[in-house]
Amino acid sequence: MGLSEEQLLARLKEFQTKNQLEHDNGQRRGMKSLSVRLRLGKGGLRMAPQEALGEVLRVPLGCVTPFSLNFHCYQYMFNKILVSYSKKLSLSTHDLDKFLKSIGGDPSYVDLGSNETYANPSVGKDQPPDLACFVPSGSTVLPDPPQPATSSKGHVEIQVSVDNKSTASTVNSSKPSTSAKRTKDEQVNCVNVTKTVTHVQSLVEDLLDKTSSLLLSEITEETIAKHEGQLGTKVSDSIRSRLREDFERTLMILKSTAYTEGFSAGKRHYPHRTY
Amino acid sequence: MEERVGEAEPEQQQEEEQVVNPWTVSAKGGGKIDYDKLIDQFGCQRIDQQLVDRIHRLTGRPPHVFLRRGVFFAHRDLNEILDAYERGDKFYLYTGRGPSSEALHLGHLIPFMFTKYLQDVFKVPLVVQLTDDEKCMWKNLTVEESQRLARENAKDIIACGFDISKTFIFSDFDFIGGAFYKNMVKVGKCVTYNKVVGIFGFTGEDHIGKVSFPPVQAVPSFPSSFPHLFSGQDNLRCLIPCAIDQDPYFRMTRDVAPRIGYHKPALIESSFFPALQGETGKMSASDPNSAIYVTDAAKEIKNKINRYAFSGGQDSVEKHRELGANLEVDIPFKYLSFFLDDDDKLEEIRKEYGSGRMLTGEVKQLLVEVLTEMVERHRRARAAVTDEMVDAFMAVRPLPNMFS
Repeated sequence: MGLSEEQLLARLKEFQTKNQLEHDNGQRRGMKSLSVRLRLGKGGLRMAPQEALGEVLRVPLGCVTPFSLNFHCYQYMFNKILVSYSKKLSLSTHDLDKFLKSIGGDPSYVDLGSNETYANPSVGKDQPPDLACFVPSGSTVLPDPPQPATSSKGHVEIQVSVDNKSTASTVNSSKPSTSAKRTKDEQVNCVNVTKTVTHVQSLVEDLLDKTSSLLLSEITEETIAKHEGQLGTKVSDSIRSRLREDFERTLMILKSTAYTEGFSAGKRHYPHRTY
Repeated sequence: MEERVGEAEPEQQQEEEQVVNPWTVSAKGGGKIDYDKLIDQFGCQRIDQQLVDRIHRLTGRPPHVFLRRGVFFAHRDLNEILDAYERGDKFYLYTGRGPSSEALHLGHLIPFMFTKYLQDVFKVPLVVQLTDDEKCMWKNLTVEESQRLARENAKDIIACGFDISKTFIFSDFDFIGGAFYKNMVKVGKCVTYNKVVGIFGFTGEDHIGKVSFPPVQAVPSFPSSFPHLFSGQDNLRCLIPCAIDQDPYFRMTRDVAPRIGYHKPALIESSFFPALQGETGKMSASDPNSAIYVTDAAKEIKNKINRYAFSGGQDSVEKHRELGANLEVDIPFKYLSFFLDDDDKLEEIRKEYGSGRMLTGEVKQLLVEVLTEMVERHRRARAAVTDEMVDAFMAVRPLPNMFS
């Protein structure tokens, strides 16, 4: 005697729900640990609502179920992107970067560490959140989603790569005004500085701004009266001594960035080259 | 000068005396370290004004603030390095870090800030060793955690401004092998168990991993350890900027070097950076208020300096005006002597604060400004360091322009 069709369907649903719950619990734990490492508190990170797919990733609903298998030593990631429910598309990491950049993103790849690190992030006084610098200053703050009647299908796996324009919302439902919990300094450091360093015109503007600002601060009625004809020399010496370190550090980072880009391109082109 | 190698260091056995080795720094009776005694005990030499002037003359650049203020105060064979440099013979720099924690404080940055200056003014290459294996053993970290910390610390090191075309950073776990390991074996064969116990104070309770570690830190002093960089340049000299507690490793290395056909590495050594609570205090990763960290926000720096920096000022304004501050113990003044580049300004503060005309609050305010600017600059640079950049710095690659 077997099971009736209704009994089979009920058993199947029970099995799916149980597995979905375990998966959801695992996913919740994973999100919590990521949230802590991003300095968003324990509940600051959650799965983006469906609307974010169109707004941020600019792909229609229903055509993407990304499953990324990304090993450090491999050049390619296999994305099961459903083009027509019968085809798969594999993207190299290079091509994925191109796509993300084309929609205005600036991808960063983050090694989330061992399972132990991922499940139990060690964040504390001596171990600041290691992923905080990846939270962009203009994070999308989305309203709380409506309570789902059923568990979602076609969910988005937690990606290893973290896009700087993250699709993850940063809403803290109780205190939305402090959801990011990041200092103004970190906002400058983590996002704007990276873009400035790689963009020569922005870098030049930044350096000129610093020089102008210092120049203006040095030329006052008091200093004019004090130094008179020697003011130019004094201001020049002051600018040199106060800005030298800044300029050297900034330009050295520019050099390192350029070298790294060339080096990385060479590595991609000749992956097996050794010295 | 005779170098004392392999003798049982008497100060390690007498609790009353100061103890300085790679794992323990403690002053006599909980007081301050006696650096004159340390120089005498270790057998190294003081850096005098003549040597500082010579560096100025040879490089054509003003001496670093750490040289002018005596932070880097001792050396071994620095004159030989300068003689060789004057003849046109180059050298390379070797320094390192034991990546035991993610949070770096200002004291950790000191050897790197100074090494960056040396790289700039002498235009020489640098190798940076990250002893993740050492910390795995001594701090009982997992291999993965120590490797992770090594990469994180590498980002802070890179943020100090080293030239990528002249710098090779490596972690022991990733790099040891080949020519490097051959040199380790050569060094190991020259140092008896008794000698290494005498130098480092190992006991029967220490595991064999610790006992076999010293050659790992010794062999980056030899150019043949880096065939991808210095192939065919076995005669190349090495200069090691480090804190003076690392001296035992390199006393051992200098003893071994001529026996295996290499130049003795030269050293330039720094004193210890004091904790916020004073020279007798100890910087500790478990006490965030004992140091200024590179991750501290401006508000935290201000708070720490104002609340925890030990003051040599008097208890009341009236008494302070009368007696002045005790600059020997005043931490804000000491920190300014490390980081305030303007000699004239420091001298003015010395006079005004020492005589009581300037108050502690003013000195602290200036220190907060100086440190905030420094930490902010570091953080901006660090924010621009990507994992790809770390990979590039750590790649085993030739550096064709390392001497230009």
